Amino acid sequence: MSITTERIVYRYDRESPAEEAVLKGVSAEIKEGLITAIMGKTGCGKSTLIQVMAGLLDAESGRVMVDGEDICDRGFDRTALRAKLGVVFQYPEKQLFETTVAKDVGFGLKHLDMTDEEKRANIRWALEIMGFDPDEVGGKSPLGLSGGEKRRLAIAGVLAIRPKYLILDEPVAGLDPFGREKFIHLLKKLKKDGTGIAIVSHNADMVAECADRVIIMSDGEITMTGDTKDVFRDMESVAQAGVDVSAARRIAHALRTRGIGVSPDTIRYDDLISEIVRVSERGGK
Amino acid sequence: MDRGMTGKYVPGETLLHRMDERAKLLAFLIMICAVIFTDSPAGYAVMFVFMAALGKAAGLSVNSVLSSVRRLGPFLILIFVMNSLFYTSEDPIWHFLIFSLSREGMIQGANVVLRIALVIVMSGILTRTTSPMELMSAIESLLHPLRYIGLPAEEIAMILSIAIQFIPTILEESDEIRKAQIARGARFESGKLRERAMALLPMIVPIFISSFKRADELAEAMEARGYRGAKNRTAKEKKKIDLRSVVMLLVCACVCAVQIVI
Ligand SMILES: Nc1ncnc2c1ncn2[C@@H]1O[C@H](COP(=O)(O)OP(=O)(O)OP(=O)(O)O)[C@@H](O)[C@H]1O
Ligand SMILES: [Mg+2]
Repeated sequence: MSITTERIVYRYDRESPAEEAVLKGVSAEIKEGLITAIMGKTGCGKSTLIQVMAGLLDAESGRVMVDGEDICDRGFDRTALRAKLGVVFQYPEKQLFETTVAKDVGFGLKHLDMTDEEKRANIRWALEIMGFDPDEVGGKSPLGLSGGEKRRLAIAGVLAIRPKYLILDEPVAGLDPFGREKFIHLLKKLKKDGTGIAIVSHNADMVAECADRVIIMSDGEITMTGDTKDVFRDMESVAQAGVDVSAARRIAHALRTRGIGVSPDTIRYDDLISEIVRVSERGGK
Repeated sequence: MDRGMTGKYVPGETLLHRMDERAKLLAFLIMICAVIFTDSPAGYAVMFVFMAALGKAAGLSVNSVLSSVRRLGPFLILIFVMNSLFYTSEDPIWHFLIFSLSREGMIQGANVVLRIALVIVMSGILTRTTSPMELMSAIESLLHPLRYIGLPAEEIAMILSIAIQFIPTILEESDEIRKAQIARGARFESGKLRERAMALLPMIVPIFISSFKRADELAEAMEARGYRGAKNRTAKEKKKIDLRSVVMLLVCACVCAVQIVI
């Protein structure tokens, strides 16, 4: 089960076909039970791609398949799609529109087949898991929250529907280190429960920490895709797309060029430490 | 769902892009007057054909010209219904409590809706082919004479051009909010017209809030960047109006005159 795009072409202004497309035939896959990171320079089309994936923008050509069904088919049930696919936008303030925090988190539940009790429980769960005290913030206006709080609230609103697929555009931008840590932990837990997760992120350390697969985009095209380790091993190609690898991978590379035999697969901070310990125990080689 | 023409400026080289912005704005004002005075079917027909021609000259398809009208469809329908039901007429077709449906009411409703649609299309074509800077300088030059009676022409120009640019911004903003609501299961995509109109209601509040917020941010940003009123701005060189723009303005004025007469 997965979300796949097949040769998606998209342009914002179809009135001027002379203009270059923003997506130039993108084929990508978001698998159930895995975390897939989408990386690339500013303006390369990441946010556009995930909006096409979520059926919020209609591609000029190409298909989007969710669990084997074409979402543009006439018979396709869009309501069911909304219940299983959650999207958190890049700018969360654009995603909050209800008058109170509790109502906002509950918005996506309105159309779901659930008792009021269950809905309330879901709202509480989502708020708590995103670090809010439901009794304290539930009645507040979302507009009065800070930037990072708005982001957490937007994520809570999407988590509340318990989607099977979760698409997140820059979810950790604006979160403090503690909030980021907790969020990565949450993603891993959701993944274990079978959720298919896509994250757009510029934060290579976070990607190394939690992503199973990485898709690298450059100028509307996918230039690399594969397991995080494999993609990050090829530092040169990654750099060509204007993307950084994780700090641990860079340090491992620097150590290797100085003849210290740490593995080139070292991309995480923890792995780096154990590699260094392993190598030093063997006497430096 | 898709975002059609929001009326945002798109750089280009079409006839309308190259038309002198002062002539363009003047033509726009003349056309607004013409729209206000239109009430015959022939008049509307002329106006619509003329708009189609202008859209073509601006390099826009009929579809994109109409899309902003279509987006406001539910509001237009509401306006039509209100007019039809609340018009006090001598011989209503149907009467119930405070509602009375009448032929005159329906005609008036259709008139109002057609006029709004025309104005939306016209301002869409104007803002799509005229950059904010051009627009502001055009308003400024048209208001220039007011200076002699002591009115702050430049400030008024600034206010007007910001207001005009706010229309596409609000449309765009409503697109964003709509997208966010769809993403979370709101049903704009399907359902009967009535349901779709109802679904628009929860959008209105956020749109207003975000517009006010936008205005606030804009004011702050202008201040932060050192805007201290028009006085301190360096004067730009006045450019001569070209012949082609004058001809286009005259053509437009003639069409409007014809259209008012018939
Ligand atoms: N609403 C829009 N209308 C027109 N063009 C747009 C719109 N949104 C994005 N674009 C253009 O499409 C291209 C891709 O934008 P997109 O937002 O997908 O990039 P991104 O990879 O998400 O960048 P970032 O890392 O900065 O978020 C950019 O060149 C941008 O200018
Ligand atoms: Mg983006």
